[in-house]
Amino acid sequence: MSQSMTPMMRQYVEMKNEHPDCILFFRLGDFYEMFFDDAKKAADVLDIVLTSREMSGGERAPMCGVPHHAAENYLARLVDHGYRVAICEQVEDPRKTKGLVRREVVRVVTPGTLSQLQTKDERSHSFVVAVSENQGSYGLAAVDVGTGTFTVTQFDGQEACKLFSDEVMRLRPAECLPNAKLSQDPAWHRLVDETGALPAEDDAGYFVPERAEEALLRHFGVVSLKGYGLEGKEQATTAAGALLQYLQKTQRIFLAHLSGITYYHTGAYMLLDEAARRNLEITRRQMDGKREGSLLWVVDHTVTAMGARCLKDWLERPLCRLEEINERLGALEELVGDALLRLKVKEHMSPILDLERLASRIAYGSANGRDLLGLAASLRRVGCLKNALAESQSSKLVSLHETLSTPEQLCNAIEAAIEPQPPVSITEGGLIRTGYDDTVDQLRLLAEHGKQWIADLERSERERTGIKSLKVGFNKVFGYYIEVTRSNLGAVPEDYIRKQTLANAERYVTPRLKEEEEKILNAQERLWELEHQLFLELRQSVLEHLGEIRRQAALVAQLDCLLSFAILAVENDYCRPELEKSKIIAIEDGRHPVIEKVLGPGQYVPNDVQLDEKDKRMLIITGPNMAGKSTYCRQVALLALLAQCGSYVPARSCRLGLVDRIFTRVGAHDNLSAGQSTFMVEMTEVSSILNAATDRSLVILDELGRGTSTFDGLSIAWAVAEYLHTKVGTRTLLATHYREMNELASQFHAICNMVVAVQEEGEDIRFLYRIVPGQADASYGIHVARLAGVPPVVLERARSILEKLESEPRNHNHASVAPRSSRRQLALSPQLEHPALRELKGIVIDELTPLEALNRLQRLQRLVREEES
Amino acid sequence: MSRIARLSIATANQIAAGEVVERPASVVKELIENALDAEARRITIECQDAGKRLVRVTDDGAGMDRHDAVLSLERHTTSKLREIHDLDSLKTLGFRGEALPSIAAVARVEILSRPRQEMEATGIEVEPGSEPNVRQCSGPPGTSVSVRDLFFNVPARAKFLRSAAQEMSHIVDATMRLALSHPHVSFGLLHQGKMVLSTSGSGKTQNALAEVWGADRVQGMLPIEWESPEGVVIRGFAGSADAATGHRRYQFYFVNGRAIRSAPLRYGVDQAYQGILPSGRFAPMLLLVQLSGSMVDINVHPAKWEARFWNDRAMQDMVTEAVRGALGEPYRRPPSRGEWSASSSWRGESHPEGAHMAQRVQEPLFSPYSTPWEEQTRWEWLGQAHQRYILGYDGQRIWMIDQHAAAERICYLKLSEAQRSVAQMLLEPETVELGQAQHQMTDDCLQILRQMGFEVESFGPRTLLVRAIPAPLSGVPVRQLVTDAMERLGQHKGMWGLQEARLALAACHGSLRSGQRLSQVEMHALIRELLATDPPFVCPHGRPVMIEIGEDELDKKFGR
Ligand SMILES: Nc1ncnc2c1ncn2[C@@H]1O[C@H](COP(=O)(O)OP(=O)(O)OP(=O)(O)O)[C@@H](O)[C@H]1O
Ligand SMILES: Nc1ncnc2c1ncn2[C@@H]1O[C@H](COP(=O)(O)OP(=O)(O)OP(=O)(O)O)[C@@H](O)[C@H]1O
Ligand SMILES: [Mg+2]
Ligand SMILES: [Mg+2]
Ligand SMILES: [Zn+2]
Repeated sequence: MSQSMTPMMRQYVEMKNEHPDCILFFRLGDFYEMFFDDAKKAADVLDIVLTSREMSGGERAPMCGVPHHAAENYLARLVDHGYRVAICEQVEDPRKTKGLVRREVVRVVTPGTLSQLQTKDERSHSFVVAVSENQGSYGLAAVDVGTGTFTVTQFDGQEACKLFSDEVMRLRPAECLPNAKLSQDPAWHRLVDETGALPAEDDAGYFVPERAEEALLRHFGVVSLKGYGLEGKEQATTAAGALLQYLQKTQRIFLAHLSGITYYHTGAYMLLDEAARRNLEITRRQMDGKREGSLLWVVDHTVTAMGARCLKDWLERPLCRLEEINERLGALEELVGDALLRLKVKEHMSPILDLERLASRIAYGSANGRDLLGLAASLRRVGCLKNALAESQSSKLVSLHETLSTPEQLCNAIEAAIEPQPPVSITEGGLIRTGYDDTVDQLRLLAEHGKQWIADLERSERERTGIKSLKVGFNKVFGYYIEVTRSNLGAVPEDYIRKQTLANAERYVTPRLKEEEEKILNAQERLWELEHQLFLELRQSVLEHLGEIRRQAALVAQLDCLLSFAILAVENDYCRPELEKSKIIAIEDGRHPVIEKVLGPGQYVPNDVQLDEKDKRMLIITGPNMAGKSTYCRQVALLALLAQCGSYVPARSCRLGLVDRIFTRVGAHDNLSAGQSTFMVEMTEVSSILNAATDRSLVILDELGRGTSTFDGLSIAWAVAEYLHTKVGTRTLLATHYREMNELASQFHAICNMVVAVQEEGEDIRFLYRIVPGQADASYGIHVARLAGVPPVVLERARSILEKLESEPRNHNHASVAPRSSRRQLALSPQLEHPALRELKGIVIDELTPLEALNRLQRLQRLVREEES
Repeated sequence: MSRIARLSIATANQIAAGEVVERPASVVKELIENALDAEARRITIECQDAGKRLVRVTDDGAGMDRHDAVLSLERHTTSKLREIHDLDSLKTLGFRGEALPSIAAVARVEILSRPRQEMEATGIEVEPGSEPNVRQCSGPPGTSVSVRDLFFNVPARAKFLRSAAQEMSHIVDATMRLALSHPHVSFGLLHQGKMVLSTSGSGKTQNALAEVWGADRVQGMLPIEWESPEGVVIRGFAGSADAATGHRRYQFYFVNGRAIRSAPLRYGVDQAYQGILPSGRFAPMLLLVQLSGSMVDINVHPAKWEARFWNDRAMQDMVTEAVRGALGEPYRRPPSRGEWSASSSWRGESHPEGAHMAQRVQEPLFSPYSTPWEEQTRWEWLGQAHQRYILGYDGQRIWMIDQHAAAERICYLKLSEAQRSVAQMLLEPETVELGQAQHQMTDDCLQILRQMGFEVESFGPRTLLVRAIPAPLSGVPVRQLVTDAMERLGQHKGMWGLQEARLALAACHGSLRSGQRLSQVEMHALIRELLATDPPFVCPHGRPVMIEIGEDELDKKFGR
């Protein structure tokens, strides 16, 4: 068959064989065509028509195609469906070659590298990761080709596997490249399934350590990786090198925008495991994975895309070192306290484009004149930012002032070369500035002279023909013309050629005019080609500045994050937290940042928090359903987290002893896909808390033990609390419906009972959302069920069962159960008094007429009677 | 003939309310003032539909218990005043006990309030003409008052409300004023859930100013610090001429912390800028006047918008003096009036931060009251300095003229006169090549160019054919004129009116640039033209064209 194939089809098959795992986009004129099975798959996914093309003697191959100018969207859709696409371009100008045009695969687009072309969300990264494991040591490298971010880390020791999985979950890669060992590990496969990353195959020995290291050395042009902190990090180095080779193979360009690699150590940050991240809804809401409703959604006031990505990173990795936190807080205090500074920074920050993405476009050769000019303008703004910070005091802002700088040379070069508002296309002229290149100027002058010659024609032709009203003009369809009004038609000379007739005039050309016009056009064509050439040279020269550009981008991103925190603080009335080495948590009028935002101003009821190492390590919080227990616990965790990110916090005041880890065990979370039941998940999380928590940690246990029978659950909760209190000594908030847990407070001196205040009003209870010392005396579960619209019959039945249960002695219960107060007694807090009493106190007798007095009396009586019935 | 009848209480209330509640912005103002009186640290204002559907003001102030909350809605109940004498020593913004009942007469009102020490909050809902519904509920410390469906029961008034944009700008304005006079309180104004304005409550007026007006406007502002022996204190910030606009939207006046519309204060400020700004241009201004209650009466206007001073003229002059002091320019009061001018304390005061203005004009500006240009014949022209300034002597004073500014002024006035756009035909049409930038906005700009007296048409890609230019600019190189004009227009895409375009043109083509050597004849021509225009001699941007040095000043310098 191959003999009879057309040469082009033969070329196609050759290419396809090199990329069997990809759909091949084969460039034919203005289309990318796909054939055979590729065509069938693509037609299906893209919903385009499947046709066929003659392949050899009468045989036809299935075919479909997409126009090349709209290819991006189609590409993205294919990649989203889990396909890799190899793009095969014509690498010769078809006009200048005879016979078959040479074609080459110029890029392989994969889920992890799509971000170079198109991003769904420019405010977050899209990573491709390489992972490598050997003898319990894990290396994890991640690259976002769209922004040039290249990071790597390594995990060793006992917790390595768990920390590794948590970090992979945090990165949420779109694509992953595991080494041979991991790719056979079922645990790894479960992890990949959960992240939804597309696995890539190591088909070229990427993970051979020597090769990997060699690739890194060559790419960065160094002789040792010491400078990148990779010394002795074998798995990290291997993963990074493997990833680099994989990208080199698929991207097929010099990845100039991967200008450096950052090694980080997760232990340097506050550790948040996947459960904590999920439960605290830091970057996405638990319910539906949306950003809306998350902490990030409330906190993010960044104005650049770089800043947005950086802020996400900051929130996911709060700091642990006091100095670092205070550095951010110090900068923040300055930005909050000096409005002019804050506004100036914002003003100069807002127009800064995504420098990292621009760097990537330049590396990929897809940047146009506007991109370069945008780059220069943005870099100039960096200089303005520097100046704005000139009088700063705080060490962070001072150091930003010192390091921010405009690469003058680069900016000058770009600005000298490119027209102030260049067109999108780089092949149609109008791109290069006058004065930059002599030949360009000359060609332009040629055209200009031509035009002035035509303009001058007006006078000379008026003289020649004697027609006073004769005019020259231009129109897009006919080009230049001479216009003569109808009344003068008699005087039109012989050599005028009529081109167009108007209502009261005729338009003509002359051979000489046409000739002149032709000259203008010729000059223009040469001009365009030259401008294109000059532009490419300029763009090439920018490549060597990508490292500096990315460094500046990182600084801008940091400043943007600080600015964002400052705006957050100003707009939402946050206060500066005081961080210390102690283990205290003292918050006055704390608010939950997200719920406060959702409820709107004047709705959220603030609460205090007091925890300290000696007398108040653990709070046991009881109260009815819906009363605000969970909200309170999370609020404390979120405030600690925000504070350690270096942000102000929603409170009137806040003192916080550093927290090394936040653990949460909240509600029910099924992980059926991973083969774990609700209770199993719960216990796994509990065990990791008990194993890993330290006396610096903050632990949130919300309804621990709910997933099993009451007594099992209670026993487990009790034992866990005891252990955390006594053995670990963590700061713990424990919300529970087991009222028996209140007993713990009398047995352990650093455990205190708190209760969410409610006010009972006949059938109804009112939630007051105040957390006060004390313990709950009823659950009001049935009340909540009624609020939720459970049918009355069911409620009635439930109530009678409850009464029965409560009247029975609990013979099978815990050794000592807290004595229960009567249901009617409003013992929640001494401050709560009966409404009738309060009203009585409020009456000003002097102001009452006798009639009013009687009315009031009647009202009071009614209040009391209602209460009784 | 109808007979007299007593109005129903509801009707009477509605009529009374008319005086307090004019529009949504009045509601905003009253509610914020209440929050401020309650010593709030943070005040949030939420609006829906420019306040027509909802105004809600939330504070974290003292709050009200159930009893107070109920009373607050009754007419003439206030916690701020007991008898009329208290007015003189009043520290609060409210005193009549009218605001809440007035609002409640024309809208649906809901109050949620909790004093800090209470466990529970009180919620009150009330509709005009019906009994309030009072309940206990949860709530944060402080007060939140929601006002819904303003004027729903008075359609005649609802009809008079303006467009959402206009009502909202009134609300923004009211909020700005209160935020500026209370810099230690943090404000947040939201419209349809979006933050429109916020202040940090840092306690510094310049912070609030920047937050409310934006960094640009505030950057060049100079602090006003002034005190009279009588104990009148004037503080604030005075804008530089560069930031001047054609309206007064950025001129705020306060008396004892209360935003006021006051003619004497306004005149005082205008008078201070005389000779610095052409008439019709206004610099941003924040003026805070503090004086004893006995020198001012605020109970003049039902919405407390006005104040009456013990002596309007004296107040006005004090303001002028204070502002001039800030601008670094002595105010030469006409000798006929103001008996306390000599004793006042401004003279000799230094203004270390008076950066902008003070640096630029080391020497005093020419006095707006002297008229040196009448007898031109007596002028002696001494020559040109720095290729930028022309020096002259009129027999009494030495004058220095900024040649560029002078040319600019002449050109601007001529262009303005050219209303009927007198065009000067060119002998031969000229082609002008445009850069890409200019090219993209040709259609918009051609329109403006034509209005100014240019005759232009498109002539091939990126090319214009110019047949005529405005007569006042004849003689200016055509290519340069057009490309410059287009470039300036391009920088302000779409925002340009004819006036600004003229300004731009005049600015770049005062035909004389600094750095140009002038012959004797050219100098004379320029001066003659300049002196033929009316005073004050300032360029269209408000910069001085000429400054003088008097004999006594020279003497002083030489130590005579
Ligand atoms: N401090 C508060 N101020 C105002 N509203 C609050 C406050 N705390 C909680 N709420 C409201 O109450 C709702 C229920 O709170 P939360 O889920 O914390 O209750 P819970 O006590 O944990 O209930 P359950 O026992 O059913 O888990 C929240 O969604 C929020 O709308
Ligand atoms: N936000 C608030 N916080 C605390 N108390 C308030 C608040 N708003 C109103 N009040 C109480 O209600 C009373 C009545 O308010 P209202 O605005 O009607 O009158 P006023 O402020 O006393 O006088 P004016 O009519 O001049 O505004 C106030 O005197 C004050 O005691
Ligand atoms: Mg809960
Ligand atoms: Mg009031
Ligand atoms: Zn000027």
